[in-house]
Amino acid sequence: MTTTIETTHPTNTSADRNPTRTIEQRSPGPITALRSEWVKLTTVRSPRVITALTIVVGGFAAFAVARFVTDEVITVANVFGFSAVFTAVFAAVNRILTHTEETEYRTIHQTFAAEPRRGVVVAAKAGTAAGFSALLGFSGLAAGAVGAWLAGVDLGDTSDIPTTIAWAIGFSVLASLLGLGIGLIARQSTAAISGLLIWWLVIENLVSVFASAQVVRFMPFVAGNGMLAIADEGEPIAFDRPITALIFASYAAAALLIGTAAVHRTDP
Amino acid sequence: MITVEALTKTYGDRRAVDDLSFEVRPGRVTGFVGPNGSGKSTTMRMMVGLTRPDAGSVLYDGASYHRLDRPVATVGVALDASAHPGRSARNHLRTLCAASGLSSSRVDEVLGEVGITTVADQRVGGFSLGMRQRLALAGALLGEPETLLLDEPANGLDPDGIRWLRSYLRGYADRGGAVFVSSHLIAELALFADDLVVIGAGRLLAAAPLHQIVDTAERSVLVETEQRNELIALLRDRGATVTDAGDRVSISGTSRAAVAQLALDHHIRLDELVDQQASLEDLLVDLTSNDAEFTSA
Repeated sequence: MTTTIETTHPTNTSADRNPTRTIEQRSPGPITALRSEWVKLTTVRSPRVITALTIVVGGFAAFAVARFVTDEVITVANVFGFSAVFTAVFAAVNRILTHTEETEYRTIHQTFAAEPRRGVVVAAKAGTAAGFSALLGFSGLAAGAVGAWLAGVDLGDTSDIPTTIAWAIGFSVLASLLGLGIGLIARQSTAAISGLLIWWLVIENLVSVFASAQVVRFMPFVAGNGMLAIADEGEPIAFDRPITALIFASYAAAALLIGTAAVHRTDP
Repeated sequence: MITVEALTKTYGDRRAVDDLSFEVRPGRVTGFVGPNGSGKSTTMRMMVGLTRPDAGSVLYDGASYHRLDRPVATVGVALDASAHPGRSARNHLRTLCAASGLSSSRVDEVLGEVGITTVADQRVGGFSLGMRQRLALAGALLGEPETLLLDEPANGLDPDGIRWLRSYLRGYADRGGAVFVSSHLIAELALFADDLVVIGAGRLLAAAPLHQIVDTAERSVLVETEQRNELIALLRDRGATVTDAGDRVSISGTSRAAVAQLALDHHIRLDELVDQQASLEDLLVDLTSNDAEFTSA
């Protein structure tokens, strides 16, 4: 059934209206989507607040450990990475917000109108998440180093520093991708953030009490912490770092895949 | 030109949009009218790929929205006045420019075009609804699109803003653009729309030039006379329908000239004799409450 609206006035074409387009435009694609996500990231306050928190908390944690722990040898080299756990939490929360805020404020309509290929938008968000959380991770580590140095401890053995930096930043990046995936699935800030934190800080700890180590080592944040080689005295690290990274990356990839499918299937 | 063909969307048991077809032509303002919940917003969302239709298609000069090489140059979309409250108007538009592959220099141009340059660096959270509507329109204009798709753009605008919007959209169409604008302010739409698409319960009730729709409105003649009973009897003898309208009588089924001639022939003095036509608003209320009468084939 088609009803044609009959026109009584002479109709002009858009070419008549704009004989020569005065603006330059490139076709939308991954690069333009990435640029847009970066502009979004840098034009609201929350990333700046989270970066500041990462620096303050990372610096303070390293300072406190270096200053007050007396039963083992503390150096800058072995405490500057303590910030990585906090950084990963902040990175995940920030990247949850990258999608949930767009959904809640309905700016996602404009995003998808400009770039209708939703997979491209998700990929751009993932790229921005990786870049931002790498910067965040580096900021936290630098703050940790400064905090430990201010506490007056020695530099220590510096040969492991590059490895520590690489694993810590890898953990932050994967945590942020996991956060993005959770945000894509939940589409609601409060649910996504509280769900992440409850799982991370409560459920995994509870399960660790009851379940065997054989099971616990496959839990996402137990594996993620394994990337930092953080373990209590006498507690064996379940797997080597590459395996823990693979486990944690698998969770992040699964969350992203499910989230991407949800974005495709759900009306924004 | 936008061609909407047999568009259908069902949510659960409710058919939000039912086999809807119409066209939007360049150089015309096409008003999209219907009561709340009639499927206007759902239709507009489907037109830009935000909602997946169960059936039907929307084509822009033959191409679906997802196939457009530069969507924002084809369609400028403002479906709601939404923006991140913590971001400034300028930065909000910068994000859209970047996503669309446009130069940021367009931002200042469109801010000026919609008249919000002075608040460009203020956070959107402090904006009135009217200011956010202007910002939404600025976003739609970024790509110098051929078509504007606007959902209730006059919401929240003050009278001056509404007048400005009307004039702006009229000018946009006069320069060759196609404007598709939904509104529940029918009288307002009647001031500048060329065509109307009327829907009710998701179904097309009318799609025609405004003047054609207005012409379908029932006409009557309103008469005031002290010889009321005498005139009524004469009119009824001649088959006219006469109804009481307070101090006056409303006559349908005849013309003003015929009533005047009848009164003259019988020496009846008329104090008032005017044509009366149902307002567009009345007409559209009737349309949407009685689907069958105006359902398009």
